[in-house]
Amino acid sequence: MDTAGADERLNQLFEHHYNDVLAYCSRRIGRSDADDAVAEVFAVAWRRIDEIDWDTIRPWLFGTARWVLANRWRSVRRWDRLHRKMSALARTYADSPEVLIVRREEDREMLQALSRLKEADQEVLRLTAWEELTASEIAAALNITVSAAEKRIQRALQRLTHVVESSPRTPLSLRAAEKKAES
Amino acid sequence: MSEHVILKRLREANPVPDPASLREASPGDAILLAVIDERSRSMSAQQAPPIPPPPTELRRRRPLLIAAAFAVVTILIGAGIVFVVNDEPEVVAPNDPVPSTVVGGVDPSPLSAQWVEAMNQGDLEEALAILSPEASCDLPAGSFVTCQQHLGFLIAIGTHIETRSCREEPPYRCSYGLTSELHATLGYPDHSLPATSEIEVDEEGRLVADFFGSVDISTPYWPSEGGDLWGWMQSEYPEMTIDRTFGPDPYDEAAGIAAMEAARRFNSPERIVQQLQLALASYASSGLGQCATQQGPVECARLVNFLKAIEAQMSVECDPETAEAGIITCPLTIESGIHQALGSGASTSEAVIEYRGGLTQTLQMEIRFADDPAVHDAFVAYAATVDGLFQDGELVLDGDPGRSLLDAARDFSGQ
Repeated sequence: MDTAGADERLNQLFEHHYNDVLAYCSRRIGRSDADDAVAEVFAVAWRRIDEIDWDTIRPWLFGTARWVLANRWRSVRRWDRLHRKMSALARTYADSPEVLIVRREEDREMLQALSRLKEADQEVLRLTAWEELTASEIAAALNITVSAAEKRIQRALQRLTHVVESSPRTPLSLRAAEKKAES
Repeated sequence: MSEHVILKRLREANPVPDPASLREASPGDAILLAVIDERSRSMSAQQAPPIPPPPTELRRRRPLLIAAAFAVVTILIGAGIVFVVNDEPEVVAPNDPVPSTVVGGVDPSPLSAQWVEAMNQGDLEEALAILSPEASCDLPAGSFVTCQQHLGFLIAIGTHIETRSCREEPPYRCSYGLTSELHATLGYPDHSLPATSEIEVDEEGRLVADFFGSVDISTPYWPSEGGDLWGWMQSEYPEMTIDRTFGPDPYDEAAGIAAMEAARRFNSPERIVQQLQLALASYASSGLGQCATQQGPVECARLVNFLKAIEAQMSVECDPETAEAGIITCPLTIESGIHQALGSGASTSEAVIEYRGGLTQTLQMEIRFADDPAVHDAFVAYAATVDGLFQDGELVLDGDPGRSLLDAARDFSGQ
């Protein structure tokens, strides 16, 4: 590896994508733990700097970040423990001011609705809505086909809509009911 | 409320709407780069997902399915219902719900039965042919294997699926029970994992299912003994450890094959004997479950402490081929400080190992202090007269009494 060239490429990578990867990790594990995960992601990028396809670098970084976070969760070992922990994480999304800035009650409601979906559904929706990835980028990040990504997004969105509409009457669902009544 | 509105609301609920704002609270770039540099040197086991994701073997096998799925998506795109990407990356949701490829009102139970039969026969091709591309597996977060790859894992570990019940009206749902050769090999033939899946039929007549999550190969060990299996697999099968080959998720066909091989070796009498030899040589009780001597049950940790205190050198010469129904009986040779004090050679007795799931469940060993039974009995009778060596008529098997017993042997031989 040409070290100087690799350093330059890593700097470019860092400059262009650091914020996005930090945001990705912060959205999932909270700001306080995100730096460590981000460092791991860029460490992987550094080791594979010569192999990286720069055309798909952004979804690749998200895919790697997802993997880094999964490895951290995996230390819990048992899937049930993992799911419990992830449920707890989902709850802290709405609870911890350090983790998130929940600006409005309807944001809280939406995050709670999201947390009621399966993790796979949550992930495609987060990648779509928060990381602003296209279906093909999501396919690259999740190592699935583009058509599977498109269908997964669509079905997840349908499920989220169903969850929101069937939730207790809180502001967002209240408006949905009102709108339905109007029409 | 339309999905467009829901997606918009979700975007507004972004907990980190402005990524740049995070950087203000971040460590300096130089510090972070130093951390990255340090980790890039020290982390040897980490790998990233493939770049770009290579087509899997399974995908290559099913070009028609992919083409069909692609065609469906193309039609959807043509209808203007899939996402539109602008100059600024923005995902625009449809105003109207996407027509699902799922056909309503069709009982998918027969299709599920066909799929179960294909899986139970180990026919991955057939199982995949029955399955719609829309089917998904409820794999753990962070999983990098596809649902199709995961089915390969299930077949490779000899999964047998039993359909327990199916709901006969919408929403259609079946509950299943999964047993596997893997668990049977590990000594748990009846270990059954319950699973439930919503099932539907797509317009191509294929099964849309939301399948069960991954089968934890270490179940039912976790959390206490599971580390033994996993640690052993990582040392013995580095090619299938979590990090090196399969990313964080070893649940594909190749991993299933390797897991079966690992399970066979882990639960083999050869390895059990090896584990016992190691335990006796190092006075370690960690690999042992319950222990007993001719006196009755004793804590394994206390027993090995005792053996260490009397300076016992032990060997078991087992013939693994004599193992039957999880039990091996081995000749046990013991030579200790007591033997030497009594002027005796090594004594030979029996060790009986009952094992399951790669773990020694019970170890029963007869401890003799002399090769001559008369000398052994005479010494034990003498020891019974020494304070602190016997309790309730039984020899105390523990560290300090062990040292005292050794002293008693020297006194006895000096008489």
